[in-house]
Amino acid sequence: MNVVAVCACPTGVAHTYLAKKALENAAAELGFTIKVEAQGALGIENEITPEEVAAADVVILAIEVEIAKRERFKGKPTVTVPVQAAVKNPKTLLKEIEQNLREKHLIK
Amino acid sequence: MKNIKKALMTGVSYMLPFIVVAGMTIAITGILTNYFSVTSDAVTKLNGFAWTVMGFIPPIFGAYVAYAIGDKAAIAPGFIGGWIAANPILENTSASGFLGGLVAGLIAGYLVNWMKKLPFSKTFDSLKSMLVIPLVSSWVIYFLMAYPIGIAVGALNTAIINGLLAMASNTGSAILLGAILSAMCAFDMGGPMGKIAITFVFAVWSDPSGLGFLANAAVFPGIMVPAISCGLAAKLAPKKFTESERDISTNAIVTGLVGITEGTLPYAFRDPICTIASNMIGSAVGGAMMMGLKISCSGVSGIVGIPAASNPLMFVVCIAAGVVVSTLLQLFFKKEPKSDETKEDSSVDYKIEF
Repeated sequence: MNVVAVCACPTGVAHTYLAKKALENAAAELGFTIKVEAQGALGIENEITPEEVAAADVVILAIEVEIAKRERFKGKPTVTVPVQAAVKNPKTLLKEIEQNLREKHLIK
Repeated sequence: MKNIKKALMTGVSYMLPFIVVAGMTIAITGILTNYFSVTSDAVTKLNGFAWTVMGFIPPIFGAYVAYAIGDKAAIAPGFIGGWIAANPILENTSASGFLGGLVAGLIAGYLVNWMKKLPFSKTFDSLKSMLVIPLVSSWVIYFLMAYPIGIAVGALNTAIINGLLAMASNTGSAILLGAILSAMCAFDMGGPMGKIAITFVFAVWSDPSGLGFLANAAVFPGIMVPAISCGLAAKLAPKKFTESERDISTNAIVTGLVGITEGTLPYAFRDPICTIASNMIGSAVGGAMMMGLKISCSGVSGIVGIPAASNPLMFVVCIAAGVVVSTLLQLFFKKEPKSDETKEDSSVDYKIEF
């Protein structure tokens, strides 16, 4: 599964990056490709390009604040979870999303 | 409800830098004047300007609460609403402050969203976004905030602040308030409960009674004690902690010292009850002492705020007391870790949309 994700928490210094790391590690363990953008205190880091969105199967938003540049993800299957969900259960989250997408025949 | 929470958090997120700048500038210029007896006009002017920056906070808050709901078009009316919330137009209405800013931002956001859907012929589309939406939404917000909402929310805000003031001036309940505020921060370590406690602090930040700085001091233990105690406990009783917990212990102490609570999260995930309970008790002790001794602080960010405290020595003592309590509790109650502690929860709360 090909994933793009954005992490954004209010203070933008800790949870955001914990979630990013957790998702990247979990994806690596499951053999998914992932690109995680962080919208932290200083703004957007590791920005996801429109091509990357197009190539992705799903968009994960692990957020507690509204993100900038949301229009990029229009039309893509999007999963919105609290930042904590990504920090605590990244693997379960990714696996459940994959299963869900399979059931909906959105991925093979 | 979830959207309102997200909008609140977005507003908080964008106004934080302003709060840091205003608070720290007031703190530093204050120290220069009061501790080092600097009598320069430049310093005094800078101090005065820092209070001006404080004035930027409510409109920015309103602007970005609105942004979270209505995107860019909602920023102007949100900003205006937030401004009026802090600077009432009518005589005899009191400032509705933070709450007013939140209400203004929400209304601005939803109003703009609704207006975007209004049918306009194609020729007038650009007129719609450049002129009609900003102008109409801003006027609506102006009238709403200056008149009915200004009056209503102002009353509510005054009631809350008077309630908190009453709690703070009565030594018994002030201690309780300090304990509760810090415990809330320690409970979810940078999460929503702690944010609510911080929101209380911001809501009364510029109240002339000085309650804001008292409440601010009272949350320092809640923010610093958890990370410092976990790191300290991991160093003092290595057998009771996992290898990765020992590895990050120095980092936890350092980040805790500058007021970043999240360093405690790994410890809390592995052993939630012991860690969080110890931290809450230690933080509550620190917060209670802080309020009980009536210490105030206008600074932020952990030890950086020490010089800005009304009594730096006791300020440090209160926080240290909290650290000692929490560390001792953890050393006493923690059991040695079992071999495989990386089980995840089985249920995640989410939804898929297109």
